[in-house]
Amino acid sequence: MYLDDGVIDQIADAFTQQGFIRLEKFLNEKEYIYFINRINSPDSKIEKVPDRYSYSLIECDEIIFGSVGFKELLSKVVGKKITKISLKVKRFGWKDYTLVHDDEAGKEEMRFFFILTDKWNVEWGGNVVYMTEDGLGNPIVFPITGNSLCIVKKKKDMHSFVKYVNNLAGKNSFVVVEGKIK
Amino acid sequence: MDFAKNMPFPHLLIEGFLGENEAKRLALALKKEEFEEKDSDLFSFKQTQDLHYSENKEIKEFVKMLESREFAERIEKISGIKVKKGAFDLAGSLYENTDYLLCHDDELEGRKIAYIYYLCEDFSEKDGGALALLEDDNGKPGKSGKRYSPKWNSLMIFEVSKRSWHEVEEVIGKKKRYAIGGWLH
Repeated sequence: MYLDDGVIDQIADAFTQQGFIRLEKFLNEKEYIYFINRINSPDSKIEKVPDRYSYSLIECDEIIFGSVGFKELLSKVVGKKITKISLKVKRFGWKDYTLVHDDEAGKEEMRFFFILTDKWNVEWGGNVVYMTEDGLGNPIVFPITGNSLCIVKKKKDMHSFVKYVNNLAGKNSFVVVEGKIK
Repeated sequence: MDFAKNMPFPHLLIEGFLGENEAKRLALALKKEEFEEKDSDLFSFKQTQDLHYSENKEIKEFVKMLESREFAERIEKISGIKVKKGAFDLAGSLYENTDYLLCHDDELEGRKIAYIYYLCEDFSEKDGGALALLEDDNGKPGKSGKRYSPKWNSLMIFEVSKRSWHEVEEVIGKKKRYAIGGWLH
């Protein structure tokens, strides 16, 4: 669906106007299930710096988000040639989070993130939030929805964080494939 | 009872801080205050207005006690840190199921001692809500040093510094973690 030129033009227009776009049901069902099965491997490493973040880093050679087709799609949406994409795959479960940090300040960059989860309830936390440095203005809140791709133009004065995942999540978790576009 | 020697950074828990009846009256008064939701990347809990402005008689008496020379002298004697008489922040807090405060150091100009006065029933390990004091690892928070589950009518004080890393662990279940807290300057 998202490979149709007319649709991509609409997405690009919306991205230009808003500075972000969220595409639901990004992969077809077969691709999505295949992807979920791949990232359910046990190869992950807990990353925790208490005043900055807590999550598990998953080692995963990602084919889809490094593909020529995906780079072409991104190029059309953000309106610039994509030379490099750096990827990180992170799993968030109970007690995981990321906090706003000064390191992010002053950098303008294009980012995307793709979410994988079997099921998620908004009451469990985990929202991905982009907000301005001064806290004024409406934050951009991306709820945790499986098989959704979000593309964001992070402005210099913007910070982002992943809201703490609380005990209501139980053993449920979600995975975020994070990409920085160069 | 040695504030300065307690690890991972100077702190002390003073149990039975107020008389039992006084504490009960204050707890009832605090519950009648209006609590506002506070939510950010760092925390999720409920907080009152600055309690200096409370109209409640019990809370006014508590504020008066904190403003007294005797209180400032008692804190100085315990901590060895000089605090200005009557110079403090003060607000009520309420942590319910899923509420938390993630790791930070509290450091802000003028803050010398942080205090938390618990006005909730005792919490056990399974209830969450513990105050965790973390070790300092070359200017960054390290592993958990000490943890204190909320205890009725007890006052926790700790020195505020670049290494006073601490957090309030998520409350799990039905217990309500009421407290009055702030900073002495």
